[in-house]
Amino acid sequence: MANTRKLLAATALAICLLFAVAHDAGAHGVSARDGQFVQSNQGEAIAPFMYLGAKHMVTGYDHLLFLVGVIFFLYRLKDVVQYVTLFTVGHSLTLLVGVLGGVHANPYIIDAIIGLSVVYKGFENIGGFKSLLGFQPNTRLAVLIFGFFHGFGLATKLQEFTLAQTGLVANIVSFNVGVEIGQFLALTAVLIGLSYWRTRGDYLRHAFATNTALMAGGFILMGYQLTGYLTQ
Amino acid sequence: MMENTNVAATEDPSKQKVLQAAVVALLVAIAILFTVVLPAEYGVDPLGTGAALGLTGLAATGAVEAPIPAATSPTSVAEGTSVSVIKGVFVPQPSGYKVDSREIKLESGEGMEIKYYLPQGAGMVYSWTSNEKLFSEFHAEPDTKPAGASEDYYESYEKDDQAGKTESHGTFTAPSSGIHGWFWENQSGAPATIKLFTAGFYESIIEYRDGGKKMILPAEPQ
Repeated sequence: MANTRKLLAATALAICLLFAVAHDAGAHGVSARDGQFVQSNQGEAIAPFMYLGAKHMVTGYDHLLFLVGVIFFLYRLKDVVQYVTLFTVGHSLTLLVGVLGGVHANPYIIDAIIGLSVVYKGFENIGGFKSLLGFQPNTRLAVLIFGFFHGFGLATKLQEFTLAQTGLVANIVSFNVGVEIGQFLALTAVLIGLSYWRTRGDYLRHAFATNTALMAGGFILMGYQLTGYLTQ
Repeated sequence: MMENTNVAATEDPSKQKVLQAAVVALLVAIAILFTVVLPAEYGVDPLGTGAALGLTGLAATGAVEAPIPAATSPTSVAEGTSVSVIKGVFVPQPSGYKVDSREIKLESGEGMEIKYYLPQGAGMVYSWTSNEKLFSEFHAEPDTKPAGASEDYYESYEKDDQAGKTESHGTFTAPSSGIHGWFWENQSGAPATIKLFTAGFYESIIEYRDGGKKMILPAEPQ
């Protein structure tokens, strides 16, 4: 048992390190070199777009923070799958509609709303809605709706570039599939980390503080993006 | 074990505790934003903490995100020495520059474009000459377009669709990350040959011709 735990902890650490290394300094968005590829690409390029989608998800701390919030109190795999599916349906829909339909949203505003989704989830996890407002908004619906905004966020990252019309659908679908692969990898790491933590007695004792920290993280993302909107 | 699969599994915290947590989260976020994030990301430094920690340098330098540093007057390094350091006169680059030299033939009435991908702040020197007078426009398609801008949004640096000219030379520092280059149109009535020579920190070249767009490789001078 002790060995299994050590193994899990080591695996989680290794995956986290991998992400840290993969995380280029530019953070978020598509890095200049990748953008150049996207820009100059002609026709179908399934593997590169899948890679970019996966990379964006694995290095996108805003999406990851939200997912940590979503699965924080989900103990059964069935529930994890259900919530993550809702999130996936939500963001895939707006990613496709956003890029194919040419819906241009302001990236700063969208990213600020994604920050808000993190605050929302943290607030919900500390029981904020029940105790302050006396009612609990539907958690599944919230995940779906915030999923829509995360998808618009993904769309704006691709829309920063002039995409070639040839092979556009295949490329966007590839990007989307890549996002799901990246999400699966990131979720696996988060679940391993949380599961290990749950085997220790202090998980629930620290749940309140952790989710308060999550809210702070969301507020920082909001402030960061809103300042970007106001200054640029 | 826990049966609640949803929402807070702990005992419902009091209103006061929740409010306290929300306020603490907000205050911590504001503190981190103003002391660290805004100075590092945007150079916005109302408390001076960014300068104290050396974070504003992140917003001011760096090959890609950097605004072009303004040249400043010489400042003395230390009392008693005669060495002066002049800041802001160069923008370091992560790798070497490329050279591109090409001849382009334009039939009468024909037009085409060559654009170089340059990150913000990267420089390029250029020269082009032609045996016939050509209309031209030196312009850019930035990666980040203003909100609501259309797909074919571009920014013009120099436009000449009246007199036409046979040569242009200069040094260029990219004001934004994106593709920067020339559109030429031959309205001279005779076939024209352009000789283009550039050297700069570009990574790729895109040619637009006959309604198509393709990536081309830098060609070293013969």
